[in-house]
Amino acid sequence: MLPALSPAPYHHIDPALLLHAACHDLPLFRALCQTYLDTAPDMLARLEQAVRSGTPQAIVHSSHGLRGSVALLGATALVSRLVALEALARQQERPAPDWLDETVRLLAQVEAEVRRGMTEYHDAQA
Amino acid sequence: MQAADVCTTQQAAEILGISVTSVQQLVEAGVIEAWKTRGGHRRIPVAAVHAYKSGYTQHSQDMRDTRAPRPGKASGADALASILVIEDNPMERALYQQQIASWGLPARLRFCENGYQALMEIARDQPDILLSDIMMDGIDGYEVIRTILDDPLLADMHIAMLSSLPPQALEDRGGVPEGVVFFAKPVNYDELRGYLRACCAAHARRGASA
Repeated sequence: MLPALSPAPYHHIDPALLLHAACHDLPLFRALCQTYLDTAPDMLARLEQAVRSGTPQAIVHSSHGLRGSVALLGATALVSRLVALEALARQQERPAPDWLDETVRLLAQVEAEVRRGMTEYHDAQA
Repeated sequence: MQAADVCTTQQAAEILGISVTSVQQLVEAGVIEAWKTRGGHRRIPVAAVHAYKSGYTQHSQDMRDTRAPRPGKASGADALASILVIEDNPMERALYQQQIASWGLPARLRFCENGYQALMEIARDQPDILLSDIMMDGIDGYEVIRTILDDPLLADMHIAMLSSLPPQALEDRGGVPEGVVFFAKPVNYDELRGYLRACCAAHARRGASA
């Protein structure tokens, strides 16, 4: 029998953080992951629309909403990015031209790790 | 439609007695209908503003005039404290549900997804403890809490704000109102548990002395 391989580390989220917040309830952990997957596309669409329109209030609102969700996943790099965006918007400034592309790329990495977490986290981790 | 039949966002805010930002959010949420001119200026039918106001005023009036006293306050019969959580993020609502249920508090827990729904719920059944997110579409947590603080009949409600807004953004909104407790997000559940335990204990003492 082959020895069990250690799972690869997570680089963009911290599933253990969400599992801890969920009181180590694995069904809830998976449900929360699914809720994120279900709601993130709309939140990203709102953010994209707001950034393209350049409306500070809309940027702050849409970023804040998405930030609340990714913070629960322990996506610290994405949280920092959204915090910086909100600070810029509050000063009536706009992000760099490639800000959206980079954020979309980061969100895709987060999504991939959320899907991975849903399959890898079993009773042994709870 | 005649010019007199429509108004600007500023005029709508004055009619409703709320901020321009809140009007914008109500429009974006589709609660109040509106459109934009070619120049990008928002135009709102006055009738839509008054229709919203009549509903909003009715809810406020309900809170002040027609609400029944809480059973716990009147008779001491309701041993369970009532907790109302206002949170628009479904993941956070699920976590509050899980965490608070695990603490075994003598309390009933309810949720609202936005400020408008919360004002209606508070008018229907006053909670003993309110946990409110701040930044939400439409009527936000600040406006809900200010409405409560303006109502003497709600003076004994325990109120806490929970938000990840940075300190400067909070200051821009007038800071944390007097008597309101603030919890930074991500929420430290140990602190929240301690706060809710204290609130439930105060509720029980009040019930015992009623």
